[in-house]
Amino acid sequence: MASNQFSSDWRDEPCYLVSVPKPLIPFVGGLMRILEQRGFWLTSEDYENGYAAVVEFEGCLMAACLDDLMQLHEAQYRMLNTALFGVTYATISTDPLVVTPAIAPHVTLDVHNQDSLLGRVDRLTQLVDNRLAGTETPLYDELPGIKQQLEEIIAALGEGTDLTEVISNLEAIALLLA
Amino acid sequence: MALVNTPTGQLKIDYRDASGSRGSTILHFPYDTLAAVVFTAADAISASLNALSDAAIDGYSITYTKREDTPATPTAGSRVEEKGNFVWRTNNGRSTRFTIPAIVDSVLNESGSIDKTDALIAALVAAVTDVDLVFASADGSDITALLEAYQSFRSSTKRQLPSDR
Amino acid sequence: MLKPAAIVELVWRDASGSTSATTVFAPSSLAVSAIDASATTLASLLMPLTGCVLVAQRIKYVWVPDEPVVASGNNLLTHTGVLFFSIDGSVSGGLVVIHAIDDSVFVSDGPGAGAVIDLENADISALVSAILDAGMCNPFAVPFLDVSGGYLQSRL
Repeated sequence: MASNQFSSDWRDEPCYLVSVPKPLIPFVGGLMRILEQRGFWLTSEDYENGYAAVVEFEGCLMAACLDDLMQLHEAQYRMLNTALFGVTYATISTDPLVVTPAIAPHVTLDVHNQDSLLGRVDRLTQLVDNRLAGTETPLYDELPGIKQQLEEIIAALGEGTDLTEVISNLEAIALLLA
Repeated sequence: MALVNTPTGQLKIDYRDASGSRGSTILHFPYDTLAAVVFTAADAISASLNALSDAAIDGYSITYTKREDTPATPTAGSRVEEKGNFVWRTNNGRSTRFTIPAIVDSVLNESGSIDKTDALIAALVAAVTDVDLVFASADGSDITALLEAYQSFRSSTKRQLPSDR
Repeated sequence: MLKPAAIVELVWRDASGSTSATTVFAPSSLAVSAIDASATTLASLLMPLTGCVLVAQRIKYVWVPDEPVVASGNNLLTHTGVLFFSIDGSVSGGLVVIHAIDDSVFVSDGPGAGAVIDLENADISALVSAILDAGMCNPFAVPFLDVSGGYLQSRL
């Protein structure tokens, strides 16, 4: 009888991720058979702990663990894609999990929804461009910009213009900023 | 010191594949499950396995095991290779036998036969041939009388040889 | 068919650590409890006759086919399907081995093609139902709850 021991707190230990080529899995799993036997372990407690661990390990070899990891990874990708770019996903089925659109090999900087993070940054950029510089953007077309109006006010003050008009222009600028 | 049930009994289903090699599938059931119940289940499981396997199901067995939780100390010098052989007549005119390993010298005659008049031997014979004990031969026939009882020695297997030789 | 006699083994251990069994037979129509009672009595009668100590007792019922059986295909014993069963507290708490498994039970596409067992296969479902209906468990008497997966292994 072998004298191998296996602690009852094995679940508290870290796990190491190993990739096993598919053709090798039948042999790796089959070799675990010896650990399923009472004679491999020193005591009945070692047998019970070792059996629990080795059967879970064998069960993981061809499905559950890596699939779960990949699904979580893909879910995280979709979360970021939605949050950053506004891409909308739909779940077609849960078992097996099918989500559309599929994850593409690469993405562009296209903003799919203005409520996404980049969409909102884009809106701010356009707003600043339009209000300050008077640039006509896809979202904002108010003219003239604040910069141009201030320049006109400064030019008017230099020629001794009526202050009433100046004040009116300043109020117009204030409205642009409201 | 007591024989304690293992947590489960074992259903062992035996196979033979096309090359003639033999193997088995072992399933476990709670120890207190009746054998008749397990046999009914075994029939259903075997039928399902037959549909899934290229091998032929060659038979199955159901085993209930008990283990001694605190074994006593064997007599110094005892060896299982020294056998007490007991040959019995059965009620269909055939015979059956069993052995007692490391038979004690106190029940032996000088010739190596077992003293049938010894009180312990007489008690054994009375119990085995009486209806109170259920034992029979391999074909199910009742045991009716002791025919022969004698000492013999079997050769040791390699595993039985002393490890410090 | 059930053999007429169950096998009863009383296992003894000598001073060197070697073991040997006294093998007797009992009618297989009897329940374990009845055979066990007689085995206990027999052990008590044998103990003063041996220098060994009793370490185990086994009662074994044996079924044999009533006519010769022939393998239905060419897959060898080591071509094995292993089904994993969940128990309370674990996705894989026990397993059942199917030797010389037929290749039709594996999924045919995806990364598991030819290796992962299709749990929707009718014959697999029938086996799983038979195992669960029978109340089968792992070696520690923890009952199986459901099948959780299965795949090809190379083992005896």
